[in-house]
Amino acid sequence: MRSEVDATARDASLYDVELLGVSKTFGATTQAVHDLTLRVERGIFLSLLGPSGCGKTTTLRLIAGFEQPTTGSIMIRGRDVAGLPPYRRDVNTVFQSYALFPHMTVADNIGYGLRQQHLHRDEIRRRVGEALEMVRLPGAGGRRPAQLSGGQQQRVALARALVNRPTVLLLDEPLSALDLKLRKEMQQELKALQHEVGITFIYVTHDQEEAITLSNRIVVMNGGRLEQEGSPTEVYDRPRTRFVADFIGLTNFIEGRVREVIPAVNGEQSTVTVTTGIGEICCASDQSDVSVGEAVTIALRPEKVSLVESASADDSPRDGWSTVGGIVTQAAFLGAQNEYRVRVGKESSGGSQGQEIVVRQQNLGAMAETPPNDESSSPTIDGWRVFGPGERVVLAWRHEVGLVLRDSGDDRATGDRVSAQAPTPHASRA
Amino acid sequence: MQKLMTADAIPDAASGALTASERWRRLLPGRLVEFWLRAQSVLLYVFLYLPIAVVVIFAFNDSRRVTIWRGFTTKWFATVWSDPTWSTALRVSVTIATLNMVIAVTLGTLAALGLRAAPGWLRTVVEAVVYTTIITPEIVVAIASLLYFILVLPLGQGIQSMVITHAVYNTSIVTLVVGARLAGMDHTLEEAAADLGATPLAAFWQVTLPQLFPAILAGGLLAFTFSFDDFILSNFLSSAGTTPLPVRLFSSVQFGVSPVYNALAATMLALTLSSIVVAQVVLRRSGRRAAADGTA
Repeated sequence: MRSEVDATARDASLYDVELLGVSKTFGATTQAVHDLTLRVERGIFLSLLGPSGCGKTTTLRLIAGFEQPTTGSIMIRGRDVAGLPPYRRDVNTVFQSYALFPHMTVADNIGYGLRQQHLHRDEIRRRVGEALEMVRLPGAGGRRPAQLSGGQQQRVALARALVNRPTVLLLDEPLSALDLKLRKEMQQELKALQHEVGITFIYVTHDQEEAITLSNRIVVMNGGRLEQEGSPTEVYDRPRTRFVADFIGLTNFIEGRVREVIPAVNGEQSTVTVTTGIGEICCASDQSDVSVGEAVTIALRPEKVSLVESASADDSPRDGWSTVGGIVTQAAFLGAQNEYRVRVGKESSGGSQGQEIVVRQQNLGAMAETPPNDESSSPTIDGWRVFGPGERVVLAWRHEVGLVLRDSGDDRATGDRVSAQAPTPHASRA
Repeated sequence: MQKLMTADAIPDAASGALTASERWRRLLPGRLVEFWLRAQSVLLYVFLYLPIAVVVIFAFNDSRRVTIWRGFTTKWFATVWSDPTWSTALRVSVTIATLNMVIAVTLGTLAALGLRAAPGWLRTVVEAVVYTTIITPEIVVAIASLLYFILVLPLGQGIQSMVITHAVYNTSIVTLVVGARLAGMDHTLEEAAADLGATPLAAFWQVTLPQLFPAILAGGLLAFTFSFDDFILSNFLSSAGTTPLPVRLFSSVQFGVSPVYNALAATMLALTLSSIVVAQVVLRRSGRRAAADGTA
């Protein structure tokens, strides 16, 4: 029945998986997935990223066939799989708990799917051997899953799924049970393996770093909805909503109101000027759909802000740069980076209008107060100077670094978080 | 000079160490407590098992008088096997216990599997019924069963009635044992089987049932043992010619003791113990796997 799927639907579509307006409701009220439309191109590594309860695992289970959508349809290789149970779908899953059969040997585990297809014993033995080679566990076939380490069990689970050569491999947080070092190793192996077999991977994770490292495409989900889909660079550098900016990486949020919009002229970006508690901020942006007077939030990544000595920098803004003066309140050494909290705003004195901005600078190996040459005071060179609490500094960043996010589009996304605005920056996970 | 220095240094370095007697005095209270605890557990085991040991030993006593030891013999065991009074009763007991076990294991396992898929309220109701079966005083069940098999289902007294009554009780036992195993089972295993292309029936035979096997075996052995040494139910429901061993033994003891009874008791003990040993061996084999899975 699997070969039949291949014969009728191969190349019928560019996409391996399509979800069209899929919703899933549990019981009367719990809506796990809401009107999700998603097209997964053939051969890519796609991550479903979001906090727990965002619907990413439910989405995976809908594709695998463990759940049926309440509304909408799911296509695998152009074929509607509505009502098809998991054992009639040409997809395989790597479970979070691995779900290896404890009463079977490793070889029997890996060959399980092939036995269901009633392949010849020699064929099964050959392919199981190949699969063990592929996950670098040759000779482990006779052992029991319980005799293997966590990382080895993980590899067996991968081999057991991939040996069936599915259209799509679904992975449900497969590395979450491993310790950090092993997880990093397995990430590399997964990436290499996906490249080698060329099978579409759909990978569920709540770890933004993992998603960025592994994926071609990232789908950020929140509250059962698709928040943003894009390449890792897109979701990191151009988050479309406050939720995405907050969930992926560390971000400063500055609230304000649009004062002026200069629309894009002949290929240049439009410029949006926003009045905020810490002064007027100019942002260059591709999207000019905000209107004057609208409440917006500016998202500013800590590593994209330069820190310069107050005395050395003239406060007059350079062309294309925003500058704000402030006082360092905290300095933390993170190893590769130095992190500063800088209080900025009216008089830099911590009045009600002020707020703290987190800035991260690459640790370039400088000892404090010994810049290599005079040119280092340029705001484009960071990290040569280490600052301490109480020092007056100037923050500077290029206009296109500040992202204007519309508050209205965010209300549903971040819910109560938008209303609970703190004067301190929104520091999500580090 | 240098030698003198090192000689001086030795007492200094050793002053931190304890002499043998000091060490002994420090460790003494702990050792006394340890000795006392060990003695207690030995006494407890003596208290529990001495009567049984006496019965087993005197089963080999070559004397008509139960209380006087006269030498080793196995003739009482020979009597148990050759005397139709005892061999028939033993056969009845084994027959009832085996039939009861087969019924209880089949129904109990099916009930446990069905309960997993049942809606919450139904599960609560059925579980209540299952527990009620177990906690109801046996004498009540015995009287009720006697009436039932005379008035409602006219099987009367005999092997069928005993098998059914024992099976009702033991089905509940098996349901609980298998149900506990099912509840603790990783359900993603079945999802994994389906994901790999196994039909529901294949997944059941290849994944679910092997996972349940230890519990099914344990439940079955419990069912066999409970039936084999049951007295109250059997006393009410047995008839002439279908008297199981415990009932036979009890009625004989009323006319005085005989060394044959010791041999009978020892035989029953041996049967029960060997079934438990078999269960333990099988359970440990699969339990080692399960335990290792748990830690993984």
